[in-house]
Amino acid sequence: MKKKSILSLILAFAMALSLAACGSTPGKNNSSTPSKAENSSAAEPVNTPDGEKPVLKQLMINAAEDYNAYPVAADIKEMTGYTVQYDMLPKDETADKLNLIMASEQEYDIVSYIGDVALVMNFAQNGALVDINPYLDSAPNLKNAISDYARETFSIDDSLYAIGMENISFDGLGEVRETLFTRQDWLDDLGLKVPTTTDEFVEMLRAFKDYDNGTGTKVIPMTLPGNRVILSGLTGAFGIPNEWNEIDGELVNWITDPRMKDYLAFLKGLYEEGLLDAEFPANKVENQKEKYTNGTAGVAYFGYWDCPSLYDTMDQTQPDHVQAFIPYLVGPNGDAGIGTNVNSGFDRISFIPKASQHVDDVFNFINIQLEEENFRTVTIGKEGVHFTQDENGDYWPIKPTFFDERSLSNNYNIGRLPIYPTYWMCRAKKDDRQWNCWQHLNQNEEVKAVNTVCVASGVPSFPETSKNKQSLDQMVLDQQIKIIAGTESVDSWDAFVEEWRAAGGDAMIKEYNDWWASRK
Amino acid sequence: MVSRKSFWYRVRKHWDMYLMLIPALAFLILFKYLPMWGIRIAFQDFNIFDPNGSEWVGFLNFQKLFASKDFLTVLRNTLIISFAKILILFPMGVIVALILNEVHSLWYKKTVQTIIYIPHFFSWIVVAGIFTSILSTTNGLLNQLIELLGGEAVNFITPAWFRSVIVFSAGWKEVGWNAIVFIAAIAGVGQEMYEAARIDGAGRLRQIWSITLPSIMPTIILMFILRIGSIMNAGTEQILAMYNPVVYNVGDVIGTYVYRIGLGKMDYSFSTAVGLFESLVGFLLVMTGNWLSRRTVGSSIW
Repeated sequence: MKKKSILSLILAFAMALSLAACGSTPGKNNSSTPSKAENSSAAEPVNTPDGEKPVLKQLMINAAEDYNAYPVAADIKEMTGYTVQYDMLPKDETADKLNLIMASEQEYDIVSYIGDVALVMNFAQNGALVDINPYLDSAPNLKNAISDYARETFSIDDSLYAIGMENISFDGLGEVRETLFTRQDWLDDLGLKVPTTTDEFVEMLRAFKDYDNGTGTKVIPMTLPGNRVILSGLTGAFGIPNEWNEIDGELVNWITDPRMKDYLAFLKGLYEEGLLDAEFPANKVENQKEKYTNGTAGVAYFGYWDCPSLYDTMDQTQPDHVQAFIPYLVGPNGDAGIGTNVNSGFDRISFIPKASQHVDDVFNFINIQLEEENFRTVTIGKEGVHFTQDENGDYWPIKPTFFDERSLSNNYNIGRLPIYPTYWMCRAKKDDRQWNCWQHLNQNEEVKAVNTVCVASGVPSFPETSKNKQSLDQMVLDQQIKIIAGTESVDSWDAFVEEWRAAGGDAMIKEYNDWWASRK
Repeated sequence: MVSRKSFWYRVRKHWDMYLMLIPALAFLILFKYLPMWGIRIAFQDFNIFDPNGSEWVGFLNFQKLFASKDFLTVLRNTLIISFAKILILFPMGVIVALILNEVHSLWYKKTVQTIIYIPHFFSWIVVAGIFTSILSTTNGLLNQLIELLGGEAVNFITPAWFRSVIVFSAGWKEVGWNAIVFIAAIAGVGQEMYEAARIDGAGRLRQIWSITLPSIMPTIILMFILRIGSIMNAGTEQILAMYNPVVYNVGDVIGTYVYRIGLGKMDYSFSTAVGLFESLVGFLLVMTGNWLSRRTVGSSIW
């Protein structure tokens, strides 16, 4: 009797196990289908038996709000008929996470990413992305939305692997997007002016160090996020505003430029004097923001798009705050410059992983979204609700509806129609504080005068660069942090540059200069 | 022949017991042995998007590993941090158990026990957050105290302090939990031995030294051998949550290195080679530890 009941128990358990095993097999089979579907997809549409549209999974860039609940999602569903499940990448270590997602072949149908072309092209080279070209004829709107430059950048041989959405440029100048923020109210208290030179900047930080911010905590004169030590307005003060600068007819990467050492020595000096946040290497993006918004730090580095949330928080925590911007400084040798790009670089990149099970539907979905009226609805909303149009044809946002319901709209875009810059101006005006900051960075004559467009603007993607860029960038960041905040000396940079060259830096320099020579 | 016969005889006699072993074996095969197929990646130039098309490269990744200058640093850090953790934290578990055993108020004993093992259930991310804010140079609790007493603020996440911070925070989190096994072992020691010892006039310390410790020695040795096996794992999750490039040269261990190379640089083959090396060393250490303990104390796991 006893043995029998044990036996039945075990049998039940074994059955449960084998059922679980069976349950997992179809999943395993699924992972091999994409290649099959890919071969035959052009011929037969993969509609589900009852003709219903499948649920698409889209991976988005990080945002403070849930994409699924954001009003744009409902509009997209209404116009396309597709239900989309939106996930997002994390704020920090985005590239690592994306690598992991791609490597584990998670079934995303569309991925939207802000970041380096090289990483995306590395996926393409490894055969992880769907070739877009064969689908373009059946998706004419998408075809319109891809510029020649984007096509050139994301093509390998005759295949196109991503939809690049270009950076905006104005009057032949690239957009200035980020700047050092500081506290005008603190400066007023201290009787100082907004610094224009590196010397004045250091003087300001010294004054901040002993400043009583009224909260009883010590002031950190300047903080930075742990993933950014190269700030283009600041490297410009040392003569290297852009990653590639032309010297004697050659493209020189700022890593190999001796002036990079001056820049690092400057930051190391700030660190050692206690002017730069002692814990900045451990700072996540959010930490730096928090230190600045709670009044602990006097200087921090943000993009103009950070303004709305920054002001909202500080109106609560630091009601007397007044913001000042330091987009550039004049260096010890009189150098100044802010690196920008024209007709170059992408602020969003979308691609379709091979793991997608619904490639035809994806292109159908994208194509519908890019119909002129739909594209406008997604990007700036509905006339009279989200925007108005004046007699010059300019679009103006209706506040606060536009801000509440269209702030994130450009993250939903997969490809942009040529009219996008016009819509973009409407987006830029969605919040006065953001608009004010943007104007300061891009329409202020003084700032425009130092806006230095990168000579390597419009560079296509190169195979060796794509392969190594991500690990090279990581190497550089690690070494720079070790020098600024660690025990390594500034002179250790020379040995590091040799290491960097061997690890792929030289290959990249060669690819850039070959391109540069062929262009002249 | 005889042993084989008796084996099958035992199986037939206790067939129901052996049947119950099957789920455990299935678990081992499914989650421990099958994944070992992945070890092949260490001998390939692995392309994650085309696993079957990857080229075999023999021991190239291992050559790369032993030739790389990071390797020595990483190995050294792993061993230093691991030894420090074993030498300091392992005895702490035993000591805490012995001390708690001497507490007579049951209520007090249970409360203390619960409080000190609770941190075990915190994620390392939380613990790292707690320690980072306590140790912060600006406005951190500890540094405020130091300054109040007239000292200078110390930056603890620097090469000079980092390892100490790692060992200390690991101790705070795990010592209470590690003590539980020993507390249980002590509870199993026969009371009559203590009574006999008391009659013979043995004091508290004498009882601990001559009765408690020898009685729980098999448990201590078992735990110690198991601990030795994970010597190459110096606490990846913990260090990952607490380090930054400034302390790579003292805090980068095999696990974090594998993570950075594998995920950050997508060099899966190289990081698998590092991981395999780590496992082999761990395996050898367990074997040696077991052999040593059998030879010296006469008690071992197998």
